[in-house]
Amino acid sequence: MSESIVWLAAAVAAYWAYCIYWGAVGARLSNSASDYFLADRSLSPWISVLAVTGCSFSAWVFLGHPALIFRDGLQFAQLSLAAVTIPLTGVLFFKRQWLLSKRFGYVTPGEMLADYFSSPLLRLVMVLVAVVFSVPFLGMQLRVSGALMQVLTGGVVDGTVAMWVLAAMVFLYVCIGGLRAVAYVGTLQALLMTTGLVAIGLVAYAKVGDFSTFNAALAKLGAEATGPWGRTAQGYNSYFEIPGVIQFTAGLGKEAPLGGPWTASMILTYSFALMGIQAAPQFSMWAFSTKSPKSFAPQQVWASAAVVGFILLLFSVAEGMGPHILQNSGVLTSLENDGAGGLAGGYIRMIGESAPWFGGLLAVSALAGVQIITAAFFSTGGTILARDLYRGYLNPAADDRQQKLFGRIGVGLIALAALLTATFSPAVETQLGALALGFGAQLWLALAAICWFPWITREGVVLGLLVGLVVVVFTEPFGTALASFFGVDLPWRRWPWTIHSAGWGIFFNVVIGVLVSLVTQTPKDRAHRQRFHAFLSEYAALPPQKRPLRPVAWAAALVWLFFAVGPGVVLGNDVFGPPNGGIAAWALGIPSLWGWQFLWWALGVLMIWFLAYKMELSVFGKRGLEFYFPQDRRPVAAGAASINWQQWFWGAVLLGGGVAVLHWMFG
Amino acid sequence: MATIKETEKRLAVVTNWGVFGSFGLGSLLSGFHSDLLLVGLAGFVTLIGGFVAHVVINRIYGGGFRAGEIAAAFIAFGMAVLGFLLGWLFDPLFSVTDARLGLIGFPAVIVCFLVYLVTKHGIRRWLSMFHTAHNR
Repeated sequence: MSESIVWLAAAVAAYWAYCIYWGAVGARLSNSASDYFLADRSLSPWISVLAVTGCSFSAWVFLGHPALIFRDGLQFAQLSLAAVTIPLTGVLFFKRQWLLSKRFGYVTPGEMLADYFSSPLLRLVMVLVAVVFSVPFLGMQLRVSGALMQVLTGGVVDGTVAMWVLAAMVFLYVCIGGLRAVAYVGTLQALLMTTGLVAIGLVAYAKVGDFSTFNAALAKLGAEATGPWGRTAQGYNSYFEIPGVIQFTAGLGKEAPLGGPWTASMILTYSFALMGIQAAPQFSMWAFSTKSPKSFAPQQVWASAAVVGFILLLFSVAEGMGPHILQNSGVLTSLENDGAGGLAGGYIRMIGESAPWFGGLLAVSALAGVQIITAAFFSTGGTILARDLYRGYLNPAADDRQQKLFGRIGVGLIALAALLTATFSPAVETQLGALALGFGAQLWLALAAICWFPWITREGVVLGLLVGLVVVVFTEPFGTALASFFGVDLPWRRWPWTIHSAGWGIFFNVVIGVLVSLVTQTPKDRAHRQRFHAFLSEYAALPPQKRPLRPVAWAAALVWLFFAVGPGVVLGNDVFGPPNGGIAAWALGIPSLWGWQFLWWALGVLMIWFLAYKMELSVFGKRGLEFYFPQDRRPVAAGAASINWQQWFWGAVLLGGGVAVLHWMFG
Repeated sequence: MATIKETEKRLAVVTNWGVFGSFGLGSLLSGFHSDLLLVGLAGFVTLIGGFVAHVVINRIYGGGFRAGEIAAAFIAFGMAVLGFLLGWLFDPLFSVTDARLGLIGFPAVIVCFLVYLVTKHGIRRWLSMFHTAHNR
């Protein structure tokens, strides 16, 4: 057994011990259902900051982001600004959701939506979205962790076995410790992940030489036309240019966009998709579990936008672009060949060859990136099943012990479903997993209604959501395969017109939602919803002396969105010098697009600071807070009839049938 | 049973050393193994950073270092110094860079610790920490 495998095993064992220890601590502190599901709404701000930041970025940042920069160049690096856009969702919704959950005692977002809209149906839709969102997404994450272990051990450990073992480890500490254990373990996971990103970036710089050597090599690369997308319409190397505002192509898999897929419209709509991360039910529950809203603004402004944004721009770009520069030294070949382990896996293995202890540590960092989000989805998925299904319909009188038991069973079911899908139906899992981001973004309208717009009606939200979900499905490969199964050849494929499925879904969701809301207004329902907004106005409204700043806030946000992730990004292609002009022609001494990204990252931090702190979207200013906080109020379940065991049986039969049909259709 | 506050302090300490300790130790080992002075020094700096962060955590949550933490730190430091000296005496691969690294790094850790004691207890009373521990 090689030295690197021994160190890898030692690092994983130490990490495992840490997880189990804090799982046990979480179990000891979880006396009631509220303890288990929401850490008794008492997570300290610093724990929330780390756990939410880690979950928001997780494996896609550690493994996916550098790999896509490696493939597509600086045009994809524009999405490093997701470090600003992702917490923008939190800025808009976290504080208000937290207030509502404190006031009305919500445990799941399904309870909140059902209570606000007086709609048990919406609660079930939320369960469906959460499960459909969770299972394939978790399957993807777990498969990546297994593949990573396979790569890092040089095939000594089988990927599928590793996946099951690693999933069992996460299941164990989540199952016994609940959300508190997830949060406690998440603190180390978040720090390991970000430190690992920095370490790999530093190694990339060190391999090339230093920053100036790296930059000189970029200049040389800019004059060439390497890469899968060749040259853009402007004649530049596609690694260094965003290929236009929009391209009216039929979609990936049918018609490739010229110069790469990351047009301005794709960047904008992909940003919408990433913003959906914090709109997902799992993040609502993070907001509910926080003791005080003090964590929101630091998490959004400093941890996410400032720190993660800087790391992505400086270190992930080095990690992604480094191999192109090192192509003549043999490093590129070893990095390219690592398949599912990705670029980061290749780096870790390379580092492990000369410094096995560092290889082991970085492997755990990558694992932490995967498992932080896995654990959060396990926990919140189990909670949603226990609260919204079991307590909501099957046993409304369930006591704490029963709720915790079914929460644990829910965690097990979600984990098992994800593992089985990843093991036996990887094709389905990949296709369904691709829907996850788009689905999350569709909850925007519902959250916007609850937090900001009382005129949006239940009918508008439900129809908008359903239409949005359908549109997401049919602008992803799953929808194409579904249509194809029924003999329909859709004229488009994935992400037509270089617009991400989340963008298509949001567009139809909002249009339908608004139109339906306009024609379904009733005074009684409006009065019911207004009760919530009156409460929010009382505690979360902007103080009168700051109201003149509203136009400034709107202008700042819109201008930033336009130039940072919107159509204005194309200005960055050559505003600081042509990409092929070399360092002498680059006004900032770095490629124009990279300089543009740094510029708008800095302005983005400023913008989100202004919104979170100055506009008090994430803080409470100088006003104090006193709440009437009823213990475990039951918003919907009290009036809902519990279904009997026959219905439960037929529900299970239908679910099993659905899975069988999916397996039959997609193999 | 530990309170939530005590538990969170322990979490902060363990998490702090989970990051600073592991990356610091990794850098240190790489520095010694590959004769990279800067990498090794970065390891020492990271470990010192972990110590400073631990002091900050103590400050935030109240209370100082626990007896177990002090004992663990002295044992770890003692073993590291012993390993360094034994390596210097008996390891044929021990290089000049390794010697420089240890001679800069270990005294730097000691200086930081003394600075902490002097800052916390004053120039004349900095040994009181040991007296307190002894009396206890």
